[in-house]
Amino acid sequence: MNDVTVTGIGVLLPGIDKPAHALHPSPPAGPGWFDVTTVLPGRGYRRLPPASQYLLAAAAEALADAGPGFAAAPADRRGVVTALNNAGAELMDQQDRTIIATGADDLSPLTTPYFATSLFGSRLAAEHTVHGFSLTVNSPRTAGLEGVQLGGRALAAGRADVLLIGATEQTLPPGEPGAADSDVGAVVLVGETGAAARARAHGGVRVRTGFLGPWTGDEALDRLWDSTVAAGPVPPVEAVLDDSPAGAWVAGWLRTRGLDPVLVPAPAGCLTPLRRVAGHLAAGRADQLVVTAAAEGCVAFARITPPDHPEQE
Amino acid sequence: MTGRVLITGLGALTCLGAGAPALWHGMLGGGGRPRPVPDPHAHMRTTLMYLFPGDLPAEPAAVAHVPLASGPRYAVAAAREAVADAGLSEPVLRDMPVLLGVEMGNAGLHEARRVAGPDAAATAGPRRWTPLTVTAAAVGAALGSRAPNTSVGNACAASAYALTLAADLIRAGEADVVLAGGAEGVTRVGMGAFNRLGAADPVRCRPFDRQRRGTVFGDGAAMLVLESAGHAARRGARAYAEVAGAAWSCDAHHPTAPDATATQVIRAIRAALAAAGLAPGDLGAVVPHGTGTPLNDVVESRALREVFGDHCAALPLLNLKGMIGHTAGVAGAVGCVAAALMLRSRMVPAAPRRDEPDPDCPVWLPSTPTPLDRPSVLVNSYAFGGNNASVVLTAPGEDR
Repeated sequence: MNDVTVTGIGVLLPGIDKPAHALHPSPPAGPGWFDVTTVLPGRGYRRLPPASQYLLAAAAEALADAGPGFAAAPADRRGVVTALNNAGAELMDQQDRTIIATGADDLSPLTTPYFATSLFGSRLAAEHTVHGFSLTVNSPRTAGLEGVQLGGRALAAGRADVLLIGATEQTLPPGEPGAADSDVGAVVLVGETGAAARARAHGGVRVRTGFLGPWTGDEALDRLWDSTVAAGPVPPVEAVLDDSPAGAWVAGWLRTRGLDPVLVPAPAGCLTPLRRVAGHLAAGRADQLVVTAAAEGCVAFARITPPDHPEQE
Repeated sequence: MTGRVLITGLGALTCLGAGAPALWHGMLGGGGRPRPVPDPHAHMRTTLMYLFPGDLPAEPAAVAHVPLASGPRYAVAAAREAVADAGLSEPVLRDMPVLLGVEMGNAGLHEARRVAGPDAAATAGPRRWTPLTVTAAAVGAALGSRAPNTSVGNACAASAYALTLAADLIRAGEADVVLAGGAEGVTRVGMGAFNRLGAADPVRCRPFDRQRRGTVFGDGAAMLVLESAGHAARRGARAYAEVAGAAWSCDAHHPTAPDATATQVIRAIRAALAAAGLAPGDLGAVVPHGTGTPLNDVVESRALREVFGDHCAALPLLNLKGMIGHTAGVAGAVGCVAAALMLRSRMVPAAPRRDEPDPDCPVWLPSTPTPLDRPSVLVNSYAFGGNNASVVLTAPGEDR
């Protein structure tokens, strides 16, 4: 079923330094909330874009949590899946304003390549000698959860044996719609498959995605429900939604199912849904369903189950 | 994962015009020429691009509250062509996942706003977050899809990754029909970054030419309908090609430069051939990544020599970027569209004239149209950060 067994969790969020606290609200990301020299000591980190620093820091924590499995895998059997929406938005905004004002020759040579947002994942791949693949996904809001789905499919297709699956975001440039409370920070999961991984896992995650038409549609939601919950006990439901018509439709659909979802406001970005998954895994509160949707129509359901859940077999 | 994946529909929009036939006839005619981007705010050494010559499609103007710039509109036009070419309609479209490679997405909207000033409207309705990468959503909405909708961001290799994921989806039995592709518009930031990195050629895109000085971007879109062989057979669809194998690797080496040893590039090519069940000597042609940047072309040539050995001398390369420029996130998909058209016609179009072939790139770019003797084509697609994807297409129904 392309599920992912999560053996390690790392978070780097404003005011939060433990995965078990990921469900706690974060304080505003004020200046200095992240000190790269403390979190990532050593050369080669200080001038990276912030979202790259967050991702590297969260990955290091996830790998420490997971134990030696990742490092033990051959380099060409390791993979990286990186989800992002706004990780490069602030940088791109600055780059464009520089080009307009004084010209491209004044762009910083160190950060210029990061206009290509695959660099965030590639930098992580270089850090941990990942030769299997580095996949970047940037679907609005659902990318964080979708990374788990795509990672699971890549594992099933034999493209890697062990994965770093992460989401990283930087605050939107000031003045952008949604900037005030946009996602910032990173979450990384170590993903594997197989019985040995389940024996030391936090739990399993199954993600399924769909699309709402303009911007409604029960059919896609029914299908996602059937593929993540199916028969059996209904898990608690959490819905990371905004005030768009698509968000309202999903909230209404959940209520028509007789569910009483915990509603979590969805900021700009793809980090919060994966953060909720990480938080539930770390808190040992599987079984859980996390639902999210974007105003543009992308929708994702993530089912979290204990490692010994029959669905994990 | 098992099962054959066929390509049953194509769509393209490039500097050679709208439609896959325009791409094919344009390639046979020697390709296009770059021209300066008409943007007075693009302050950089060269603004040459291979630009779509037609009008900006009028629709769709927005997806949800997000106004759409050229990239997503090109995507919808090419997607409509591909599904019409495949003969698809409801209810197949409703169940058809959309997986697109999108790097800069809707950047044109954001860049226009920066010039227009702080009061320019960001959204078509309520003041909500306007994500950069809404192209796949725009296509899903336009086609009435209710299936998974994925935007892949692997820079210049994005659509090759998307196509691989699409084929995996079919082989896993999760879908019968999937739309894969990519789309990009003009972006000031993309051009400016390549200028700053010294990777923008001020003359034209000259892959494998000794005088090459970098790449030249192109805008446009390319779309492919991928379909399980069983589904295609049940509805009597005619296929252009089969996605016989695909593989990825990662250099984990440098932000912009490929690993000069080509180790991971070679590994991806060999893995794609193996997945296709082909020996190196079985291959008929290559659509290389071939950007015109000095190191890329040398490294890719080295990889091809290593994998194909003496067969390389008789292995024709399609110099696609010399004809339509580097279409960034579209490059892998448009390479596959070109490969599918080559397999349909059993011909490799001639390469644009090179002023001085680079002796460090010992590959064959035919100067005249060349028969495709063996019905299989390798498409390479690479990106910053050492993201490597290789895809092998074969003629449909080949007994391999």
